[in-house]
Amino acid sequence: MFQRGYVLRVAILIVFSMVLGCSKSVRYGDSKGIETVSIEFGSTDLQKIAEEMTRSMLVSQLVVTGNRPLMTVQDVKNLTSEYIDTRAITDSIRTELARSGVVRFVVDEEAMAQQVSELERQQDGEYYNQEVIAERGKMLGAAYRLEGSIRSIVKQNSDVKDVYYKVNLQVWEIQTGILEWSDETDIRKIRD
Amino acid sequence: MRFRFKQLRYLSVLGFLFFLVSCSFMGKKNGCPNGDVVFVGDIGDIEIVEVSCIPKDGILRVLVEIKNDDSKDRSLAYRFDWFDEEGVVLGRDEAWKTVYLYPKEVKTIRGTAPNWLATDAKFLIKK
Repeated sequence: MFQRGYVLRVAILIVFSMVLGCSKSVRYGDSKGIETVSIEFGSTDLQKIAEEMTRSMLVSQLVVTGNRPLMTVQDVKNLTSEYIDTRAITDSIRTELARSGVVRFVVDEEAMAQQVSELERQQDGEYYNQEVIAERGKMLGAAYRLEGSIRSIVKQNSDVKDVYYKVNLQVWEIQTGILEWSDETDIRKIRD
Repeated sequence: MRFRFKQLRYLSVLGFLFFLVSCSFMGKKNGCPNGDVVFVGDIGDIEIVEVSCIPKDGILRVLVEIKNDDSKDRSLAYRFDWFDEEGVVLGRDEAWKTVYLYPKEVKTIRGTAPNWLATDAKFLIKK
């Protein structure tokens, strides 16, 4: 026959170990590391696409001429069956190109409403010095537009899931409609 | 005195052998001021055959030829660090990217500098 105190101590120990077993620790990881938590589109895929495409454009005839062309960004169409924040792809590409200094970006469609709103605020407001306000009709239009798409092929059986992503980006000259640059990259992920 | 001369000969042969071994380990470097290769941890039977730096249109490009000497498929991660002419690292860290190698396969990994300031590169590879 066990003593009551002994049983209580054992019970507390069991509860304590259960609590410890259930708790999960939090730690910081390498934001540039290879992420293989799941087979879905992830940070490694985003970084690979953005980096490869940017570096490819850097050595293209479009930018090596040194003219620093004016460009606008349109969305990368998500033609896969999963949710992908494709704006993150174009944002990363735009940031890296802007940092390299070889391309200049003008306001894109998404930011146009904010741009116009700010212009009107300066024009119509009585609080601004009218000699130094931004004038209407001075914005520059882009000479090129960047667009693209991401597609996927998914194959699956009871043991294996295979996902193949293909990303294609293009730069079109707006005035002439000429395709000035295009490149593609692919990613294959297998879960078994 | 004669004994010392013999020792010297052995030492010079050993030195030459060491030079050959280290050259074959690191691979050839073409056009890179340093062109360092860094193995992050043990990567097994992977050979760096050649590292070439090619400046073109003001942008540095690096080609790294690697060989899988293993009898199994290997998936490795790699990235480049880029340096300006004063040896200062440029920009943020690159993302690690994967490369897949079949047994005995030789593959060329291409790297392009993030801007025209880069004059040197370091190639990092890990499991």
